[in-house]
Amino acid sequence: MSQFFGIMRHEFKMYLSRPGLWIAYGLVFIFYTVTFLYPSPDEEVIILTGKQTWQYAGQMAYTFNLFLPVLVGILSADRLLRDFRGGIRELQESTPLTFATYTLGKYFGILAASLAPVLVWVWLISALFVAFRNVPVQFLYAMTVAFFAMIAPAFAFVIAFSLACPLIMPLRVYQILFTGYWFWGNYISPEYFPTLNGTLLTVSGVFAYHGYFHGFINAADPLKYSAADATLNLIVLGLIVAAVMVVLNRYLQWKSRRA
Amino acid sequence: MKRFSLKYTLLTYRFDQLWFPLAFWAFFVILTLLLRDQVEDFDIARAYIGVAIPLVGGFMAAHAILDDPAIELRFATPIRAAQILFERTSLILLIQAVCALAFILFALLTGVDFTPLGDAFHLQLAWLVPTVAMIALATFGAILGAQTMTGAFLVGLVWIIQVIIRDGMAVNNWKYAYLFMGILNPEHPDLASNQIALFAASAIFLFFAWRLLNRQERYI
Repeated sequence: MSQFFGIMRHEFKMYLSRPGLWIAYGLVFIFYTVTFLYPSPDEEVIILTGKQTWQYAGQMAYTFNLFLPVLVGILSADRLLRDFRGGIRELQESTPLTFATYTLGKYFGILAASLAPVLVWVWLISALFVAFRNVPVQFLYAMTVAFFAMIAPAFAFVIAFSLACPLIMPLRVYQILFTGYWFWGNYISPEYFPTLNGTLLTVSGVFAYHGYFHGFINAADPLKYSAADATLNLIVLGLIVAAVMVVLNRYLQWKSRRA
Repeated sequence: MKRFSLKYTLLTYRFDQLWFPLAFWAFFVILTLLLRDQVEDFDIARAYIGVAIPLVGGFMAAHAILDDPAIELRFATPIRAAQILFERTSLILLIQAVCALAFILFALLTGVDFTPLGDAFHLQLAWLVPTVAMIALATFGAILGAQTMTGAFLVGLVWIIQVIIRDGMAVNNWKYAYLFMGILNPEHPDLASNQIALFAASAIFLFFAWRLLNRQERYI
């Protein structure tokens, strides 16, 4: 376990020390903060009570999921690849480190480093909402739940693929396919074009938004997904992440044997 | 003194810059042939030339200059920064242009009507303006951050924001930065201003990229 935590801690520090990460997060955080804290003058004043507090927390998390996972997917795409390019992997293979410890340490280190700044910012923006808008303190708790039910699963999903896929295809090709996938697989209507959106493979958090947070406030349309659908969606995404990590582990073993 | 070597360019060329745009082109051609419908054919054609090509060009450009294993050797030669910049970005633009023109030709042969996008000149501007803008943004981002990743995430972020909130981009002052106005809102009264603004922004990005590329110690 000490090896696992060592790899995880190192990856966490390395990931957070990249200026690109902070530029990327900074741009998106500013965009969202301005959008939410300074709405357009014709927008209705928000007064949240009871169920609406949860609905609004879900809505905010769903909106954050539009862009944040794209950034995380692009930024984490070179994390495993750079160990191979820099020749670090050969050195690591000469140590008693197992493949599973290495891949899982890397994965959870990147996941924790990607989530930590977002969680701090989510708490900060929620606190500002509580302080300056008509929002109860319960909103802080609702936002934390929304973070773990919607944002964290999306990050976990995209990071697994961003670690594995660039090992079998050029990095820039993966980045193009991933960015295109995020729009196609999550936001194109299935009535308009064949897409993964609407299936249990949807990563945008729409299942949890409807199932756990009851969708938009005063929405005219009935909810599409129940809490059971949302739970099933999270289980399916979790299984896919596990499958990707197993395949990645096997691939690294196979590559090591061929070297 | 020999200023340009085609042999060196080809030897150091990353061929995914060539096969991937061609594969993407082939994918959209197959998609068009599978979904034979007049309205959908037009939507697929404009999605490819006006939305997909700028994305591919942008990501390719983000990696074009700094993702060269011989970059330090290149800096040790008397090659000027402007030449490196021109060689790498123009090649990407050329490949995207060939793909766009080939797809337009294919679409015309299959009966797609491009008249909603305006005359032939405006049809070309509809893909050229966003593609140049994305290439310029990616190049500037990568060189500014001294990392290919900075250029890549800027392209990814700008593209996904503009695709998802495209209706919002067409109003207020955002309309001047709206990449897909020529292809998605060709009837917009401010289209000419939008295209001029995007060309100006591209020129500014490339100018600063050139200035920064002169400071070679940043990339070693």
